[in-house]
Amino acid sequence: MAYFLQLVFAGAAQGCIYALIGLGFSIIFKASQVINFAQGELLLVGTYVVASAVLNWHLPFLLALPLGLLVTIVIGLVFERLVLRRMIGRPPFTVLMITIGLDIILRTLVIVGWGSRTIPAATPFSVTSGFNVASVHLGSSDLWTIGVTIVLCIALYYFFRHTRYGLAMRATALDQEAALAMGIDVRNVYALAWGLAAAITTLGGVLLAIDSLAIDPNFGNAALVAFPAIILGGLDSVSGAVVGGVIIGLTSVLTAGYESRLPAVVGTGLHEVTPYLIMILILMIRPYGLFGSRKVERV
Amino acid sequence: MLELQDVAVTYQNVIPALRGVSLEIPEKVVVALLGTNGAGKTTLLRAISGLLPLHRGALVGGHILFAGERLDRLSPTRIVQLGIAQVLEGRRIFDDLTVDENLHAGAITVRNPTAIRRAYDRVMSLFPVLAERRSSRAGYLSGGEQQMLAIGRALMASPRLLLLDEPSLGLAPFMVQRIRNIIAEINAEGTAVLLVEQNAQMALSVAHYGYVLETGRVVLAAPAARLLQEENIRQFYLGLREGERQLALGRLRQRQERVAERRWQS
Repeated sequence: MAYFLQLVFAGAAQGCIYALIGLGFSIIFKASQVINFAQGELLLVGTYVVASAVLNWHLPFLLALPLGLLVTIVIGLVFERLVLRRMIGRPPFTVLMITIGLDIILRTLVIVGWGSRTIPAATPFSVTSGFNVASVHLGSSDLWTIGVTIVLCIALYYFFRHTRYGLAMRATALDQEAALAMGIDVRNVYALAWGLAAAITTLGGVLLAIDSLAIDPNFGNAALVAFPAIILGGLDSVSGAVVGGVIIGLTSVLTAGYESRLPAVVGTGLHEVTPYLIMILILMIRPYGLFGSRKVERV
Repeated sequence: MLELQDVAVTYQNVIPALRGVSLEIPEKVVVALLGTNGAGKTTLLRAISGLLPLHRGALVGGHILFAGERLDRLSPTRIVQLGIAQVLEGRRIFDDLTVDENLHAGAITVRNPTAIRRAYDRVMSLFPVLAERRSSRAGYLSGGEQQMLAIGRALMASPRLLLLDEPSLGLAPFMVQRIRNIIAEINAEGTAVLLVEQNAQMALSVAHYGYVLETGRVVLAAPAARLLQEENIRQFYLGLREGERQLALGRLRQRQERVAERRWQS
């Protein structure tokens, strides 16, 4: 039982990271019907900046983190300003291809700037820190991950429900032309979505890096693991990204924890497959995801 | 107050939609804009409200003046702030948002909380139905209620000029009548209205002045009362058998040529 609870705790923490990364995808998708394939590379740049700030420039972690967030927010805003702003009203597929281009550019820049070696990640506390509750070890990094995610979800909920800009974003997501006719500045909405998404994803990346201890230029692929999470939650649903993330995290960690007890023929890689199996199962029952709406653009 | 001079619009640089339209809306007046599908009515509204770029259209000639200021280079946000609000064809309410949220989205350009409050109270007294359903999802309202919400949402910006695109579309006759009365009421409070309609009878019954648009040109412009009596308009827009429609269309075309000739002579 303790083993099971331990796995559930670890799975929840892992799921929160997927949720954060997934939130980045769904906020941009909701605002502009674009799947941002550069999401993983925004996260990569962010974690590299935080790691450098701590290890090379000897900044405290709590200063390095906002610096990393700032850098990715600026990249998101500049990209929005220089490229996406000219693409308003164009087919989402065109913009999607451009994000793939941005992805390649960012990854190359990281390799040029930091090299392709593995470097240690910035970690504000040791992996072993934490405390035990009835033989379940609650690690500091996992506790922080879960806590940060919960606080962020509450803040986002408040933002979307009770602020002018939140309302503007929701209105634009529902009907861009009607929003424009109301005088909502759609360009500002896109900028806000990109800035917000970049920051949240980077936060997810930094938390993930604390767990994995080291990062390399392939670290951005973590965003791909978050992909089944947003698909099963429903691409255009912000709460769906969170629920989807937690489901994927739990499935993946629980399978990893129990796969050694399965017949040897299954092998040891099952936990990498189960998130996709769950995704396919849920999509068979609900083609638009758990919380998705039917109008979602198929790309 | 609003003045269009020789406005020409093309879509995607090649498809002409307006070919030199001049039109005037004085303060506190209801102007009806009539015409068949594809005549350019919606394009004209988009040219005023700055929504052309979204449809890859552009103003290629003439200019639009509102209270002395040129509109054709301004963003939709700025145009709303100047006092022009548009109700799009087909209502286009935000159906996942509540009635209240829809209304507040309409006031997004307004910074002053008391102005928002005042506009909100005005909308609630104009549309008591909306007051009863303020926290229900807008998508669950009936067609007529949605049209009222769309008009109320535009009024939240306290516009001096309201652009209405086919507000009677798809509504039951008694609801069309109610919308007509609401337009009259809004106008009585001092708001000018540009009313685009296929329902000429309804539009001309509330308008002071009317324009008829045909393939991107103004073919007739006269006080509403006179248009209502105009034989060709009666035949063409107020419902007749198909053969007579064609005949009336022919006469309208002839008239259009005569208008063009007169313009050359003057």
